[in-house]
Amino acid sequence: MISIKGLSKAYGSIDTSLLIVLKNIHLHIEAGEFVAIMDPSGSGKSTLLNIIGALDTFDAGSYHFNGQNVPELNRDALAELRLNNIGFVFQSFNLIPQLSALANVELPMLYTRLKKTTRQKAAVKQLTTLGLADRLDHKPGELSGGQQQRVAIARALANDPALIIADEPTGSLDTETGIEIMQLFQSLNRQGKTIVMVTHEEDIAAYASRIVRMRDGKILKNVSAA
Amino acid sequence: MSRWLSNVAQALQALNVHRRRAALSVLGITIGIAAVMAVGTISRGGNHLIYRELETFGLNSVWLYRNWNTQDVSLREKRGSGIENADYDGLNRDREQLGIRHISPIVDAPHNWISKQGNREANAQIIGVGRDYTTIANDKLIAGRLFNQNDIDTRQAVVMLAPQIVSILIEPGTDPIGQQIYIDGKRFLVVGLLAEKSRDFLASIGSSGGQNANDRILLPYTVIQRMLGHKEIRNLQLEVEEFDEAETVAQNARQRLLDNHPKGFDYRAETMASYIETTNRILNGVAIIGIVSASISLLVGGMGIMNVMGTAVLERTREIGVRKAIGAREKDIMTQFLMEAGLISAIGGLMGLLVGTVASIVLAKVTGFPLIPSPMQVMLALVISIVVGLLSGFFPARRAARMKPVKALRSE
Repeated sequence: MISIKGLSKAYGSIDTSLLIVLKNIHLHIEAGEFVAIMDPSGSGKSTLLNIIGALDTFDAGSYHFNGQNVPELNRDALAELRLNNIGFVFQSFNLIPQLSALANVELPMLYTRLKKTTRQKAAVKQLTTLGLADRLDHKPGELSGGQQQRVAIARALANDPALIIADEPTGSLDTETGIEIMQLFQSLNRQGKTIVMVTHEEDIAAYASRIVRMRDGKILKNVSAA
Repeated sequence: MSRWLSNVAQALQALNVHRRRAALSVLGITIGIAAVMAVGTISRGGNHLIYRELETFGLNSVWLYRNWNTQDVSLREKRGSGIENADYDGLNRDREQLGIRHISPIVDAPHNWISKQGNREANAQIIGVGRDYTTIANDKLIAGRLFNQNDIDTRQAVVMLAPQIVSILIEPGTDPIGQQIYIDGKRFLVVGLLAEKSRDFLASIGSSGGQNANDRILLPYTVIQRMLGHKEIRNLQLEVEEFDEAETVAQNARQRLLDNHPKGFDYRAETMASYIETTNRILNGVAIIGIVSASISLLVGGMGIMNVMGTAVLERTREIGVRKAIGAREKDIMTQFLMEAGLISAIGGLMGLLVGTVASIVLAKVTGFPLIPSPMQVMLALVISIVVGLLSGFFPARRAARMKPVKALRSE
């Protein structure tokens, strides 16, 4: 599904001090995998995650998503790629504050031009599955952290993407809620979703089927979890 | 359709977050649109009023007078009006060829002629006219009959009265038609009553055209000539066939008079068409001033929207980033912010219509101008307000649409 070869990215120009965040990255992720990317230092792992999520660009190397050469896509095609194939889960949930839980989950389907009734039905179903049936009309500010993250997951699943990208999904949650979210990820993974997650916590990374360790913008080694 | 409704709903929710800020820019547009409507009402009402009053002179009218202000001193020496019955007969005979539909001589009676009935006296404008005068001057008959050719040819002692004279001379509660009145000691039969003619507005702006038309007594010009013992005509009033030809017809008729009286008199011809042209120029000038000032308030309203949307885009950078990560295309983001700007101005426009309508009604009451509703203007005001909103929302919306997703996501 994801094929990254010799990928590098740097900030700044040659004249100023060049900050190299990703160096010669090789990474292959098959459909159905649950991969955790760990990096105790720097922001390289988030940048890599953004590149995988077709949100960010890079300077050298190649990235193919399902055979598509991602750097060749224009902005609208990138938006379509994210819309149909990728669901994002963030550390700070990133729900739209003025919209209800239901409207937040409907949003990606609004962008795929689904009908109102279809959207609403799907969003209600998704939220119900995630145990939020009685929170449909709540605004994000009226929900607990764990509830907000579950709304965000419901939103990420709205267009039934093959890939879920999660940037420190438990970073803003207490341990217990974090474990619940990880169990939810595992169950999504069992249902066939490919998940790529960035975390700095070993016990969170342990829920993944593979751990990719990075340091100073380089991949150290690929470890398969037990 | 449902997508648009959802977009509208989302835009409303977003505006609701900063109600006060949105309300201020709505107010800007409201004032702008209300101003546009008020200016339109005043301009249309004034127009209508002026035309209604100009109509009382006959829109196709041409007047021929002796020109006393001619440069040629020799043409100022002779006495008299310089127009005689023979001139009238000549022009009347060649009407078709000259493009004249109707023509009437006008002969004034001296100002000291008193009209009376019993012990009631009136100081009226006593005017001798031809058969077609009432047609040319747009006079409407409310009772009795108009003059006929026989009245003119056989010098019948008949009169038509304007309303003010009726109320002064005729005993209240009696039918004026068939009654007798005395003019300069001679007895006349009332055969017709003329409808009221309003020239209040022209009078109020000091126009010489604001002369009262309601204190006229009309009689056959031949009768006045007989009483005065001459065959002179003070001036001729014509109705031209084609409004657009008025100036040409006027000049040709004037040339006829010049030809009839070689080296005797000079003449001037005035056309209603040229008065109307002048009036239009003035009215357009006034309208342009109004439109410019109304546009300035709309412009200020538009800048208000631009400011509000610019702030919104900055504040909601993270939201824009999230929406892009979720898969929003640039045009989705663009639509979203344009929708918000458009809603502000549409709401402002609707409120402006309301305020403008109330203002128009009040203004019409205060000025006495007629209130003329214009659905066209209502549509135009709405379209303008939405266009202003979309134009002012465009640049902030485009800035939002073009944001780099990662950068936008990182902002606090």
